[in-house]
Amino acid sequence: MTEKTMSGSSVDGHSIAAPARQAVPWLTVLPLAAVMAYADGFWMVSLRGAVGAIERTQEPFASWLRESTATLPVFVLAVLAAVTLAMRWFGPALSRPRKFIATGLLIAAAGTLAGMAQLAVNSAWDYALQHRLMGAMHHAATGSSVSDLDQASLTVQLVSIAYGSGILLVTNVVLTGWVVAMRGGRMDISRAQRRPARTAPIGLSRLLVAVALFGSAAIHGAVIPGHLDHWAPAGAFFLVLALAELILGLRMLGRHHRGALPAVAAASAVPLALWLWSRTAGLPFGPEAGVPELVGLADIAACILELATLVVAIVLLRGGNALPGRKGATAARPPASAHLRSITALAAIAVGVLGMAGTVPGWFGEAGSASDISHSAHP
Amino acid sequence: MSQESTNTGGVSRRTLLRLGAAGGAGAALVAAQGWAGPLLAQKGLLSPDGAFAATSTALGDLIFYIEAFPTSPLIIAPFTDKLTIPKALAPVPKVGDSFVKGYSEWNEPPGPGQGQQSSFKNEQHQIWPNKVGYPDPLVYKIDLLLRQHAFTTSQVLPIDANGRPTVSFDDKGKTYPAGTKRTLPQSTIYGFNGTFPGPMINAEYGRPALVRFENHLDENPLNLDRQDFGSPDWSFLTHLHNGHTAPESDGNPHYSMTSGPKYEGYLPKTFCDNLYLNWPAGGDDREKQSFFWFHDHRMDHTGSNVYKGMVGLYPIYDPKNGMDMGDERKGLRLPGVRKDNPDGSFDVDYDVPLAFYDCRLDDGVTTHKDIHDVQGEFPAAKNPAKHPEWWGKTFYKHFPSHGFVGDIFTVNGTASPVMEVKRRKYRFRFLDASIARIYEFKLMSSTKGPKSAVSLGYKGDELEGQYRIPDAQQCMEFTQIASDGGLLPFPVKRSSFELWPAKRREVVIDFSRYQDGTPTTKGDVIYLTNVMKMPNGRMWSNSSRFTPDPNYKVPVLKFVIGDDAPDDSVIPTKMRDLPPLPSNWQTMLDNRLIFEVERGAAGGETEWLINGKEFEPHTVATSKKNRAGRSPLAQQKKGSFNLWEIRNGGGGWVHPFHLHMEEHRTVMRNNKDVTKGNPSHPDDVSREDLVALDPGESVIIYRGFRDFVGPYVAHCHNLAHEDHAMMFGWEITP
Repeated sequence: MTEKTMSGSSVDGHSIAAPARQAVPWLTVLPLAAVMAYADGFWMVSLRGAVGAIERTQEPFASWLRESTATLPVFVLAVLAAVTLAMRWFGPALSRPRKFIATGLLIAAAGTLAGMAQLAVNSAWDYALQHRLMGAMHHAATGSSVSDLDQASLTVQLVSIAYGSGILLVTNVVLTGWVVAMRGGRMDISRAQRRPARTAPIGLSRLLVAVALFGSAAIHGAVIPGHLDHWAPAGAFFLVLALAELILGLRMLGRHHRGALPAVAAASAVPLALWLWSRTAGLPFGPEAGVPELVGLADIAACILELATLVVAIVLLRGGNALPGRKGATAARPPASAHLRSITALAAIAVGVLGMAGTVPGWFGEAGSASDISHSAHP
Repeated sequence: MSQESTNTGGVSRRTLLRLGAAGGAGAALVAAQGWAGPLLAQKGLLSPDGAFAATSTALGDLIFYIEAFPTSPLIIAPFTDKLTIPKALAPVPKVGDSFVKGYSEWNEPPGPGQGQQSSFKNEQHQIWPNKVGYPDPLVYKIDLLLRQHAFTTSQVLPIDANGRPTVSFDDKGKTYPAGTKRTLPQSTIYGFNGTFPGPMINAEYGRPALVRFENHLDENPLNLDRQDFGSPDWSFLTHLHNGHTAPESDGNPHYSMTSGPKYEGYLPKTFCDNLYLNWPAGGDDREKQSFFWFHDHRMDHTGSNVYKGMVGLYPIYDPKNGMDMGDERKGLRLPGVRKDNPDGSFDVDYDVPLAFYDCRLDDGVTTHKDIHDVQGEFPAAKNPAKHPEWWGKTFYKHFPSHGFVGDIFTVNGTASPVMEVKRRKYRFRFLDASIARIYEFKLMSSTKGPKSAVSLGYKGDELEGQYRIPDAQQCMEFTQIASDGGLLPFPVKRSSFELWPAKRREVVIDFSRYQDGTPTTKGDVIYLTNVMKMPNGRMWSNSSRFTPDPNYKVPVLKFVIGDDAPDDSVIPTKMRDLPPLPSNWQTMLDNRLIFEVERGAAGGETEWLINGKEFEPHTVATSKKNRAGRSPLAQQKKGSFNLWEIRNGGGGWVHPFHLHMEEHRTVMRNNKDVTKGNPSHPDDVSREDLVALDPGESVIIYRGFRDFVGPYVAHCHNLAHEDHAMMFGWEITP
């Protein structure tokens, strides 16, 4: 490819004594992820308009903007994963056209996988809403059971995923080629770091815990107003929780992070346990004591982050001196590459962003969001 | 791939790639502006949301909702069958004779008492005529019968979608080779008194009519094949469109599901008495109308029942001061020579109803498949399947996405009919009884006459209508005298007019002279011509208002000028005043009720929804949030007036939206005051019962809610949309 990607030793004539470290080529990753996220989002919203649930087919342009933006980190993650894989397979520089084309296809395929996942989740959600609508609809005196309609709905959604996946793949291949062409045929899968790092990088595990804590804090922070309106103690709980997660996240980035690990585990385990309780048996206190709450996108995202945090915190606590990022540990295990670190952070960010988006009423067409358009029972 | 390796004679490969990519993007933008832009604009979709809607529609059409229609065989000798002009139905005498039983002698005679409204014996007529000072009603009896109907007597040539001769079949299993001319089998119908169109009741204000509709659809004396459409349980529900009637006589599913039969319709061996008071809303003469029709309204199967024949006509005259009593020597002197019959009915010559209906005939090779097969409603048909045994009979599948349009245009049940007219003025009462087709009519003459679309090289959707008159020129104008809501304040000259489903327009045509003043002569031919191309039930592709197609001139009815005849009629300068709008109507805007029609999907197919909900017959709908921040129930106090807004939620469809019970005035269209007129919708200044919603349009109407209480409905009159839940319940409270 270009000399920038060949090695870190002679970029722009600068001579760097330390061995070159490969950095993430964001100028490649971000444009590709962005065009695929918004293009795939276009098809997904259009398919929804054709076969989706009515609750989610209004204002498609606004839906496209917000959903594509919310899923952008997922596409960045996918493209970065493809680039990382290409670097592992082909080396840091794409020296031959065959490798160049294979990398392009790999990126398009990764974007398509992200799009397909998005499509599948959307279709599942549409089907769930349609299933509910059919359950509530008037049952004609003639005709057969709702199960036939239900089956037909499911079939249409599956067909939608199948055709949609093909459309996404073609779109992503074309767009990848177009972006690469617009960049004058450049497709970097790595770049050399211009300067050596002043400090040792934060360990992969710590980074994951910190970002996951920030993500959880953001989600919990976003639901405070709603909970305050509903039941003030719940709002206060989420306020305390969000603040704790924020502080613990900052501590995980600092030098004296090990002492915070028990608190990190607790700050993850307690909300996880409460969530499980509230979604199954229902909490025994509060205005709706004993009534299980509905599962939503935001709380699922928060749970994923908390679970990841809990698991890693436990591993870190049990890991002793071998912990990466701990004094002496770098000698035992080399620090993770920039690609891997970015993938880890992005994964947590993607879940956090999706969770944040899920806290906004109506954004993802959750059940009962169309409160102003309901029918009322005949008196 | 180094920088050096990309140099190609002064322009680097990198630059070439960039230029190519930029050029491709530019070309895509130009294509979008030059091709997609106008296409979207034509459909009212030139907006970000519209682009998504158009893409969704295209995906739906291409992948998910395949709507397969047969190509009807070509009628070889069009314009030879005479137009059927129905005679008025005679009322049943109170006391019979040796031939007929009087209604007072029926086992369950009609009357004002509790339990006398239907065979269910659980309802009473809300207002018997004596409560408004009217005499007892004339009583009519109409039976729902399983019978047959022929759309043409002409031989036909079976053709395929490319216009090529093709094979045909019969009900004995025989296959006829391509090129064989055939005689059509008769189509099975469910008809009012077994005819299509059904009977015509000539009614008068001040003279109520009670019609007993009795279901005999379980009887099959001719051993007919019922095919795979029409209400599968053979139930009916008759609605007088748009009679000012009480709910029990309105024939609407909101009523039928909550009261009376508490079912989608009236099953075989049951009856209901619909009482038509022939009383203007609020007793206000300005609310008088002039042309109703009655049709089936059975929940979920209105379209298939109407298409199967349940259509009847109900012109209504106004004898007060002789204003519009069917006698051209009196009152407004509109064309019409009245003949009172001894049986109590009356006919009016030179006053002709024209019911337009388009159909498709089975080609025997198109697969029958729709949601009703998924639901197992017609198990005997074993669909999805082809039905060569039904070749030449009416084909109907319940496609909800587009609606349904036929490729044979009929008038009063006859395909491409001819009518000999006298050299004088006629009054024509136009009715669109089609499932979804919108027409735009012109009066045209031609020297060469109609040519088959096949012979002109057309294929596919362009074959709809079967014939064209390439050299046709407009030769006459219409004088419109009435719309849905009755006589206009003054006549309006129209060179063409649109007729949307369920709408009525009345015009006077003077067959004594052409529009340039030249007298007509005996033998001259004038064609009533449809110039709106509507390839599917979604909306037109070409019309006078939007990119007219000068080649689309489909003759629908042939007029042949005959002898002179006396003509005492005149075209008046002033007719019926409009009921006044309150001067402060704009202050009501904040609290208006808002209903948005939308496209959704459920049960594996498209559903049509209002305010996000499908029709739930037991409920009263709720308005969208209005400017006052309220979402009121669709309930109105008896005697009240209000503004209602009907929005087309987009998606590239037009919707003829019908509101039962009272006529309305359109006051705003797309946020513009149209009380002084609107060139796109000239009828906005009249009273109507159907809002013509172009794509993306919003219409605000002023309505009254007088005289009766109880449940009513409002719905799209694209009957495929109505049957797929595009309806809502509303009610009038005491």
